[in-house]
Amino acid sequence: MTDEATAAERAERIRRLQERRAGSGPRTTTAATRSAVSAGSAGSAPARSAATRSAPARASKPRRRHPAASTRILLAGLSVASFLGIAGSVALANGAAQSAAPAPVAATPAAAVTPANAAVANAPVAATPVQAATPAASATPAKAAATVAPQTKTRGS
Amino acid sequence: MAAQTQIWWESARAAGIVAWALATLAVVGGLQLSTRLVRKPAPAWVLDVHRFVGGLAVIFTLVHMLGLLLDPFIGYGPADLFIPFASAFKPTPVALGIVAFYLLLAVELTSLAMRRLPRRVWRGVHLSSYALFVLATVHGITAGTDRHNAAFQWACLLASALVLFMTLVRILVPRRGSDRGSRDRTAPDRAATG
Repeated sequence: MTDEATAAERAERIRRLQERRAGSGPRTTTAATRSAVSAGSAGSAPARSAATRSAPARASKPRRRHPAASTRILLAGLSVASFLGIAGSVALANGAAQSAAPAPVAATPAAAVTPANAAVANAPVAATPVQAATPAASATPAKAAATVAPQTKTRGS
Repeated sequence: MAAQTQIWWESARAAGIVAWALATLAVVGGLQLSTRLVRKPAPAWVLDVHRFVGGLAVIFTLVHMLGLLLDPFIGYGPADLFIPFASAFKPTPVALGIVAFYLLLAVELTSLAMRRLPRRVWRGVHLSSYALFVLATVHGITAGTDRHNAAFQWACLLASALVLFMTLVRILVPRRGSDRGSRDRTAPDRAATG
């Protein structure tokens, strides 16, 4: 009596587990599993075989397209396009600014030196953290401007 | 040659602006989910877009940081990017950006692990999105090279106004069906996130 009750309880538990696992699958799978479990007294072996049988059927069924899939693609494309557009426009503006800048500034570095850093203009380049040469370049760290960039290099537009 | 070296700098600027815009969109999406201010988009759709946009914001923030790291002109190291006030250039505005990045990371990671976390923990971390939006906006206004750009200023103004308005709606307007529908409202969050 107790063995029979235990087997029934076990079969019921397996049936619930199978139902939970096949929750996203087709309904026929659940039904087949249920019938297989109820047919077998032991429960576990038929249930397992039913699950194995239903696997190819699940794989062959085409996956349902996510409702927001097209929106995702659109958003990703828009983001990348915005990124490229902003970077391109910044590059164009920088190029235009550099080409529009007076050539003598590049030709004579002394002309680009502002009064703020005029005192250190003749010092060794990496010796002191001078201010950036142009107002636009003041948006970047002074240490980098002093060590890496030439005095006429501008950042920002 | 100069144009080549500025590619990373321009990428960093563009990625920063796009990341800020995406983070703003994610915040607006989250507020739409909680306020239901507009009825038309289905909550599940809004939730999916909200999560996707949050992920995109993280990606573009990483691109922003990578651009700063690789730009030879600015000379940033990992410490400047990850440790607040380590940067010699505008320490406070840059620190705001670093803290905003950590908040963004925390919000994203706790959302990915939502099912394994207590609801209160997830909610507490998720509420820091407001601080994240404020910090990122202030970082962009104070540290960004494009802060003088009129389009960027208008975008900041409009985004801040929209977020403020939706936050006020969320706080002041009683939720529809709060006596019966609180579980229904949070159900899509649980179902679709994690």
